[in-house]
Amino acid sequence: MEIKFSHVHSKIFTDLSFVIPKGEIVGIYGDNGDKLLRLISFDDESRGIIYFNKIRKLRRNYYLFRKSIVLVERGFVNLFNVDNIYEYFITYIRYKKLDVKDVNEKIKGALKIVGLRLDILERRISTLTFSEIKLLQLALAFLSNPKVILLDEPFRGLDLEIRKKLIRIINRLQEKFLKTIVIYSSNPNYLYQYTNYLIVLYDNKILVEGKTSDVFFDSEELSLYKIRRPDIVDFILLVKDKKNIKLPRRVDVKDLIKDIYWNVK
Amino acid sequence: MDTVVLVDNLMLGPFTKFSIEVPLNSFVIVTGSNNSGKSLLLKVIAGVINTKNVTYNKEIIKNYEDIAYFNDFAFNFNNVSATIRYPLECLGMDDDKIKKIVKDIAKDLDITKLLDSKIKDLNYFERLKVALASLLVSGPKLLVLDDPCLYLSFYEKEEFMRILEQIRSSGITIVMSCSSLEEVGYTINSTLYVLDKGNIVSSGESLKVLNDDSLLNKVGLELPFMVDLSVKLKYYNLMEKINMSPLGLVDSLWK
Repeated sequence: MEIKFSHVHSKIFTDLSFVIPKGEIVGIYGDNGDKLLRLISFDDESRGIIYFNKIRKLRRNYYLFRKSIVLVERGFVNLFNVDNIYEYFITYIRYKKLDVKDVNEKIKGALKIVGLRLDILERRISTLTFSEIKLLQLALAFLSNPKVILLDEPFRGLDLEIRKKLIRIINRLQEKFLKTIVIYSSNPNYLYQYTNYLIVLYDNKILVEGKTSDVFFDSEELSLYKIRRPDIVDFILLVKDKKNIKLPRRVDVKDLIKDIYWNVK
Repeated sequence: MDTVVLVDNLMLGPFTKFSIEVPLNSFVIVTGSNNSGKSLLLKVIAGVINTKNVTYNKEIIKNYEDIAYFNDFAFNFNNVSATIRYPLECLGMDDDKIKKIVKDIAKDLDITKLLDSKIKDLNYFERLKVALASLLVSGPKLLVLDDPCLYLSFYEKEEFMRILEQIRSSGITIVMSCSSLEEVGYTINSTLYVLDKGNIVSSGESLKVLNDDSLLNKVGLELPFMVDLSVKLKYYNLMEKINMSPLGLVDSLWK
């Protein structure tokens, strides 16, 4: 689903215009990026012109879009003071007024997508580890079958293996189920590795938007406002700047090492 | 060297016959993959889990007030200075003394300007510093921090590690866990323990431990970029030791 914002105002932002393109993994970078996620999710109030797949959001059709967007918060907030996980799922489904025929099947399905075992349902939330909570948050988000999934700092605190698992889930959702995924992260390395389209905020305005790799490599605004680039991009640009050697754009350090080896040898 | 805490023969969760020793005035960092037992170990060290396997040096840790433990924010007050003052009020100190201590600690942590602010108006890093201040006012001897850098940016991590180094130099022993290795690169003279499923798989002086990239990757940890690059260049005989400065590295490669 493509979402287009023109001249949108909120408490924090004034006159924002940008597009969340369809079928891409979109990254948001910069201060107050998490607030922008909240604006996209309608959790924060906003005024302006917003289109969903070319349908304009109005007061009377607002509910149609509310349900198709879900925001996965950076930390888990227990909404209902319920500790048992099965009970939490049931309470969540009722709270969100989700139209579910077979509740158990639905929960099973959501857990399967994120790769959590069924016996987690017997456990208590307070006994879960950090990564299990993250996966539980995602499973809850999938219950409503959203078209747009907003993720606030999803990779923080996850080790390589679980991060790869999360990326596999995100890629599958985007490729197979054509979900629009928007990721906010303050770490440019993650955005460079995992997103295709990037929106950079500065001083609560859109500074630049475009293909992630182009933005990080070519955008002069980033240098102008001293916005941190991914480490690997910084290094490649430094080599070009100081030694006038153009190394290819790389994402993986292993590839960069090979380039350096052939160049120095 | 004196030991502050000794965990001996711990049998709990993922741990079997696990032992670790924290020397006086050291900066111990515990890292590892998810579910490796970092948070549980820190709880044991901080004494919030009831187990007989942990012993404290009675001369340094006289009672539980000498241990400060942080794992998440929970502010009981809306106001910053009320939050920092509260532990001292509980200790029954008079107002003038409290004001002085709060002022000093706020200066050390660079939060003097925030003292009159509301907690809800602060960002994550500012909240973290307020939480740290409220732990430090009562003068603990052992500071246990469970992944404080989780949501900090690179610059904030660097500043936070500098603050911790300053705290350590005032004579406080620090035990900290982290889920990424970036913050480790900013420390001086710290000891790093790498956990995997309840076992210590590597330990020692932090930068030395970071040299073993294959082991760290195997347990699911990602090296900071400059360390990763240096270590891999070493395999190709293009580099002799870890170089944290990008410019220095470029200059040494293309002489």
